[in-house]
Amino acid sequence: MSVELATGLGGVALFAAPGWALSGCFPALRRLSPLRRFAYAYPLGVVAVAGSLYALSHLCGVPLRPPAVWTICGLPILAGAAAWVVRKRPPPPASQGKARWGVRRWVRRSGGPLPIACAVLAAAAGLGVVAEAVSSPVTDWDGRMTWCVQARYLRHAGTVDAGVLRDRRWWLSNPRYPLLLPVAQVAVLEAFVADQDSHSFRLLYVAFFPALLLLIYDGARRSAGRSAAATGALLAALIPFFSYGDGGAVSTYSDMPLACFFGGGVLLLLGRTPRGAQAATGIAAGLLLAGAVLAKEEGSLLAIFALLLGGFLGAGRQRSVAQRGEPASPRRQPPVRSLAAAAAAAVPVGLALLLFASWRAGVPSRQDVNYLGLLVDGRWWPGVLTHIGESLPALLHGMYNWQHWSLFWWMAPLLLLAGRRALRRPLHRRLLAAAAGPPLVAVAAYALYSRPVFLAVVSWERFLLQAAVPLLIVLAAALRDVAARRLVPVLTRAPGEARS
Amino acid sequence: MRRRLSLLLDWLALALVALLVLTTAPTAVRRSAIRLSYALRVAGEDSLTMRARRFGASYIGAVEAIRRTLGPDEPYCLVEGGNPQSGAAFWVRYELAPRPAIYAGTLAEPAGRERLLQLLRADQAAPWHVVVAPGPGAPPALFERASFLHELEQLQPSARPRAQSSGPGGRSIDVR
Repeated sequence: MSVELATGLGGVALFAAPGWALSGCFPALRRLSPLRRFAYAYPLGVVAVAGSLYALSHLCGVPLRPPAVWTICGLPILAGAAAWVVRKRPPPPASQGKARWGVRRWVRRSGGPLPIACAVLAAAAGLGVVAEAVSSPVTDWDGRMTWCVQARYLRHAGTVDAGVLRDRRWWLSNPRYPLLLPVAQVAVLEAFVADQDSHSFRLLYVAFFPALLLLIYDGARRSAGRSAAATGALLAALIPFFSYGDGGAVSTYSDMPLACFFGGGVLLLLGRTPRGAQAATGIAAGLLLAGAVLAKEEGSLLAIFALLLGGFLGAGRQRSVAQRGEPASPRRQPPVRSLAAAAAAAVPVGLALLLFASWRAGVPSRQDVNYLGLLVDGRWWPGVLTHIGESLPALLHGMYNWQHWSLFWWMAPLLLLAGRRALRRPLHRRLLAAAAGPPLVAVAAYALYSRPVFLAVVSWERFLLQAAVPLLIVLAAALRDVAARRLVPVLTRAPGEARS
Repeated sequence: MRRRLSLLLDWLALALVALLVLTTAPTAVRRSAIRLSYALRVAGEDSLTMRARRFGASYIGAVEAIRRTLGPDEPYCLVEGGNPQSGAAFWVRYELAPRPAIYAGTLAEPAGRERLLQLLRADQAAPWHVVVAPGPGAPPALFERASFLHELEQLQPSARPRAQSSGPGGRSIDVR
């Protein structure tokens, strides 16, 4: 296990280090604290390294071998180091006497005891996921059926255009699924010359779990404060499905990575952009959304949805405010800035879509469901009406499964209703709309597919996971609204004060 | 009335948040402690031992024997011995990757056996070896194609037959 642990941690660093260097190029990420920066840096690193390998292997025939992996990892690190040296750094603030250090000061600087308690609990929950990943081989269904077996074929062939994928004769499950995560697996195994049966790549998936929690924390902290943000992240850490479910952190499914790519991209597109950094922030968001395109089939739809939501709808909303003659809020972004960020984000997304289409054109379909074909042929009628009703019990059964979600789906609608004032902020409404994206894609798939109940049973909870980042940020904002009304007056009441 | 309803809703939401944390946190921490102690207990194991512990020594032993017989590029026909919904063929394919597989069908049903016979007889370019995945956890078995065909022809569709094969280790076609 010690070798597996060392290789696994090396594998995480293989993506985190270039991602960290890359995040230094984006002012919106550079100014974040190290932990919050990791939330974006790690998924960015996976996109940069695995995405580059994917493109170079397919377009230029570069073999997926250690020299290519190390070169691609090294280039952003060198560029980031050079940029760090060259960048004009502001002088350190003049010290106000001797800096004092103490537990009280640290607790106050961290936002009080609640965020610290949440962080400790989340870390304790996450340790189990790490322990499971380093002490057991892959046992999950889709991991062994699709993603990991694909990675083995790619590694053996040294290319993303492996003969096994391109020859209809060979039996594969979902051979036309995008290969970002299998390529990332190959990168880890090749970089450290690991054995074929090594499961060290599992930590690559596990590292998306803290990234997801920190994305939730970062997004919620901006609008709901530290305590609510930490509580939102803690809720995500404690939902059993997020850690141990099929598609959760412990598995080798692509859903947790997709949740980070989609969530991170949406946050960057919807969040406030530093003045003059719209294009850079847009490119960072676009890179994350490009990761979504290359990570899973539905990622393409989600990336386009995020672009629409982030840029064009935002610009439309700002225009309508201006037409009504309302004064522009200083906190609102002008429409041009939203459009600029979305346009910049569309470039990496477009390139990823082209790469995916080009690679996929050479891979014949086996048993893959052609949703577009079903739509064009008109074979969706009248199933589109009946399938949703048929699959509804399966959807509810999944959401109210105590072992997977505990009380989450009892709590979430009530909290949203109670904290509905939080939805007065346009940012929260748009985040809620973003959270609706993955479930809507799922429902559309169930409407088209001939066995909707089967599909709902095996996929619905994973679509909910994909919506985790925007959903939990909105829930954190709602929690803050309710707590500010009910808890703060109680907690801040003077000891002898009579109840009114 | 509306204010009271709002008050009730607020406290109910807060109570559910607290209850969610209180019910899941102890389980999550306990689960972490169990997995951590387990990870420490098996620290130092190599991947072969770890796989044998997880999937069973006989299963991994059979996989290793097949890997030694089939070269890494050598294709094989994969036959499902049990229920196709069990996933057994997927797990065997994963263990034997990067060897390319042709899915030849299932032995569990007479119709499946018939299709299998037709496929193996008709396609002379079919791989030389056949691997049977009997079911989850059951060790896979390797056969030469000719001997597998011979065994298959002996099977009676109506019974639950067991025929001795000439495959490595004297394995049999086990129809579950």
